Amino acid sequence: MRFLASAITAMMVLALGASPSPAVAQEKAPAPAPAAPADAAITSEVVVLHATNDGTGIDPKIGKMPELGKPPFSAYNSYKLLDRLKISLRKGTPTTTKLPNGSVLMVSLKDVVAAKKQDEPKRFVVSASIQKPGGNTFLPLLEVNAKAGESFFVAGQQHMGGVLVLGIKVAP
Amino acid sequence: MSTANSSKANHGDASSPPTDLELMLYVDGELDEARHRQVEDYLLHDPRCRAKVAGLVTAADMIRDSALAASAADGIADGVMAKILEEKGGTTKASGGAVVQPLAASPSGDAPRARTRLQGSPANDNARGIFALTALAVAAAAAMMVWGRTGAEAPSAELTAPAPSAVLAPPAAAPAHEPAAVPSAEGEIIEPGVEVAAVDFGARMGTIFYVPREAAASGPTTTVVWLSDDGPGGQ
Repeated sequence: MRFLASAITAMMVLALGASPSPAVAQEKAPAPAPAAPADAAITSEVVVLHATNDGTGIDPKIGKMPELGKPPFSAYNSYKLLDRLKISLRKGTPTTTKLPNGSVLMVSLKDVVAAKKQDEPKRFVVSASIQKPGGNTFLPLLEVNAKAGESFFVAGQQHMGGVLVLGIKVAP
Repeated sequence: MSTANSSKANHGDASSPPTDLELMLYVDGELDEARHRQVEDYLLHDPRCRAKVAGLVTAADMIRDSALAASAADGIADGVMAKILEEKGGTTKASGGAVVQPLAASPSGDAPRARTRLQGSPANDNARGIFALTALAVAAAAAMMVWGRTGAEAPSAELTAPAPSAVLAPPAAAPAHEPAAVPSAEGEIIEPGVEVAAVDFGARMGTIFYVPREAAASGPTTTVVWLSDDGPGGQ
């Protein structure tokens, strides 16, 4: 009986050892979309909002942005679109944008990551930093792994009785 | 033999006493008739030869008894074997047709039956069990290989990347205009659209929020990095 149990255990171990784990299978699954060439440029959109509590509400030019009604954005009752610009991101080449308060936003594309699944968009590793005039750094480094078409926000700089809210979206 | 008898008969004289060889032939009844009669007459008058013949007869009887005993032992063994086979012959013959002769005879008939039982179905059942379980294990391995190659996602794969709700910055001293509560996305199984890979707030206080875009907290989120601007370097 002991021999029988040992034989069964050994067979199960061998069988499980011979079969690939789901994680490995997922890694080996074909399909990852080919990554973009290293020198390929992608387009990114930067929106600059001014958040205040002056009661003017949300600027219709901003468009549909339901997040503004939720914390932490809901700390301010008014949002005004100051600027909307498109920048081109090239891997290894930072792109700088001057903000209304004189700060400089520097965005660079670090890497393009193939999607894990066929039906998912590519992901982009993007880094951002904000340099204030006079040499002070507001944000030394922020590096995100963003899905194409998704936005992320950097907020908190004081500007004219309110704060600046920067939205950065990597275009698909 | 007839040649030897004739030669001995020729060597022997009718009046001469029989030799030892002739006495042995006499005891064995292998002398020719004339010499046999002569030896017989001689024995009537010679007690010494009679004693020799009596000794030869006794020796012959002993040898014969010994031989019979040996053959009788063989007969006993054959008898025992025959009896054993007869006792279990019904099943053996019924199942196999041919009679299987055991290698060694046993004093009782129980041992062979016990041995037959030990060699019977239990061993076959174990073999069948091992074979069945081995086939089951191989089938399970094959199923896992097929499942892995189809690219099916592991049931727990989505749980390995929950939307982080951790605040990388120091949790205290958040800016006054920021909400005190951090929207929690714990337990969310949807991969966030934007993951913070690295952040350096420098000397400032910062908080990372994952703001749900929809009413349901389990829906997609928007990543927000909010820094205080009243610390070192602030305006």
